[in-house]
Amino acid sequence: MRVTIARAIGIAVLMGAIAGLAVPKESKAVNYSVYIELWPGGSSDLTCGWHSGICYDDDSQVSSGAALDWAASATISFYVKSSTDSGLFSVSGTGYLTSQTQTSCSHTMYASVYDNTATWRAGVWYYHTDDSLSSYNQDINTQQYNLVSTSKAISTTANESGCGSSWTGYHVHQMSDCGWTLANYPDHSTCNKDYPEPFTNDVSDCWVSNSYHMGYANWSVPYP
Amino acid sequence: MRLIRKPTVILILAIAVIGTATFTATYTMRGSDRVSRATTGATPPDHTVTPAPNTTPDTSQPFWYQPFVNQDAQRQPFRGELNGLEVDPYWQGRTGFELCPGTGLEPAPPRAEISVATAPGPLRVDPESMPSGVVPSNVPDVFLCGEELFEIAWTFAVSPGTPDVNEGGSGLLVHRIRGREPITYGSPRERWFESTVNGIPVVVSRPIVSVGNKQFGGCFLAGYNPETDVLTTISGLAANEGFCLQVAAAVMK
Repeated sequence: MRVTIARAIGIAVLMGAIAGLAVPKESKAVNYSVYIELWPGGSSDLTCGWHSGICYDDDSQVSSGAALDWAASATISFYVKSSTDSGLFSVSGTGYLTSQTQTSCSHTMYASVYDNTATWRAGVWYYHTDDSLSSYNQDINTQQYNLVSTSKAISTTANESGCGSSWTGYHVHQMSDCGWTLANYPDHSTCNKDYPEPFTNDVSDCWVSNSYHMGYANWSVPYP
Repeated sequence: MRLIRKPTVILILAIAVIGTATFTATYTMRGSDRVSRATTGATPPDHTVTPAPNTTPDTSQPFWYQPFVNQDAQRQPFRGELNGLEVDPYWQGRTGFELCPGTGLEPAPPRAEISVATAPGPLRVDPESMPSGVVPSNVPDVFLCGEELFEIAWTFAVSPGTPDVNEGGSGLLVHRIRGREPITYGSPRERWFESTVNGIPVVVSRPIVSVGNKQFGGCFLAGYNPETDVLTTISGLAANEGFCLQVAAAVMK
């Protein structure tokens, strides 16, 4: 008798569990995530840590800010790396590159980063860049659980002669706009090289770790 | 009629309660069902299609904007005159020595950039007069010819939720310079239109596509005031033309 009761209870538990798993439940929307890193548009030679405006040789005159100066003697690129937790897409969004001003002391390009539903996620300014295109849209490559690169040459360094003696050496002043969480690279007070040589008045501890990305952004998007 | 014994009834009821409780606990604890979807193959956007005429895109779909971007890329940037302004994306600009013979342009003294940029005058850029949600994101670039203010470039951040701006926010550039010169912004003729701001003729470029609070491509505005000899350009990087016109009205006073 006891064995029969135990079996009956076991069967009741089993049937209840099976029914609980089998009965359909309301579907709930889920998101997938995207991660993207912003990398130097010029070389990986950092000549001025986080600053705003002009990076004067006299570091006491430099303001702190969201820009880094990278030495760049030739091409300037829109350079990012992206990964995602979804296997659905090989492209995480779009970079839209435009020339903003091409005059005397303000040769400026801009890259907007949109997710794949056209929500603006971040932007980056490239100063001292000569226009070699009017506008361009660039797929931002991605891969499930792996960082992959996207690099698009956008311009060359501009000749901004006649814009003040403080403008020395070809470089790109790369300023992150909203949306990025900035990396903890050296501030201008620890990295301020009057590039190129002879490096007078240097503050040249420009170590930027073994990865040179300036910052990152991440977002989640509903599954379509 | 046969009577069922009381203990048997209690046992049957107890087993039914146990079964129901197990069902309820299992059903409640398990997560929601996922939306069914394809899981094979990674999909890139289609760069060949262009928008079907008179259709409203479904902005919840991935890469819904791509047909509009494709169409825009197929069009040539406009080169010509609009509202009295020359538009030439291929113009290479003038050097500081050409603009300020002899010495060339010089940056404003360190730490004085903001006070110079906001001082009363024909090139003034005043952050206080900007639309709500617009704040400076950088120290302005300010250049002088001798003692005279000659050029200002100032970037701003625009908060999400600002009217006529992408739901994610936007960047903004305000650039003002003495003299008249070609507009170098590259945009096809279909996106340009002529307008007036505070009595000053302006040309405006719409974004590539703007649906609700999704703007792809941004707005651009340029206007030259012959009375002050100042050229002003406004770039709303992820905003529509209404935002550029609003900023221009605040700047071009």
